[in-house]
Amino acid sequence: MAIVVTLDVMLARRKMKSKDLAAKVGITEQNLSLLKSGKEKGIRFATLDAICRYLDCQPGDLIAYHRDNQP
Amino acid sequence: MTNLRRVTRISRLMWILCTLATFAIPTMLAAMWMTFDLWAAGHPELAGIQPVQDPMPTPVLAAGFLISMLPGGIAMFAAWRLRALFSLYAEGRIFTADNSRCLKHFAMAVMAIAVVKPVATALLSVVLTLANPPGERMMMLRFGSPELTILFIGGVFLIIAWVMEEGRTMAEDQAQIV
Repeated sequence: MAIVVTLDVMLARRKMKSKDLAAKVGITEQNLSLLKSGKEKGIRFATLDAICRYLDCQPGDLIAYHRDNQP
Repeated sequence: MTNLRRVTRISRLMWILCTLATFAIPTMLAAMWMTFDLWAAGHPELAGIQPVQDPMPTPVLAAGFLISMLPGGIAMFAAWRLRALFSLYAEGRIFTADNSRCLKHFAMAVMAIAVVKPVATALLSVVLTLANPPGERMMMLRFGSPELTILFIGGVFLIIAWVMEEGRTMAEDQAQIV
């Protein structure tokens, strides 16, 4: 898929642990890990809203479109 | 009360009833055959069958019990699979592969009863009239609206099982959205 999740970059910039973000957002650490690795099929707007709120960022800071990754 | 809580609560009761049914089926059939002489005359299941032996010898009664356990055994399996399904519902597991598998097995068992019951009736008629004088022995073949109804109901449950399988796929997709 051409959509790449860059959540781990944002976590590093904000110096926040996945465990802490998962607890704040209200999802399991496992789901957050799957989200970071791009293995989830989608993300709810409510979850995206919560992540952006706690990381103080934009949705575009968390996901990117890389045309070269197209199958 | 939420819908899911209602499902889990009532499913616990249904689990108990299905468990009782599983063991009640062979028990009731055995009791029926042990008291054959009390109820046989005029019973609709034996309509048209006229055995001459009275009282019915024990080997014939035993054979009758075993023959009625042909559809009876399948009914026990159906009740057992339904029990497994309600066990899953009681745990709040609604759209899993196990659910659709249990329902499919139940549906196929119900349909099998509709097919096996006429065979059992035919065998029963032979066994019960074997001691009759020549010309009065019979083999009865019966397939009517009760069997068609059972077949139809089994078919309905089979389709519901396929629909549940679709629901499982959607639930799995939904679970992968964070």
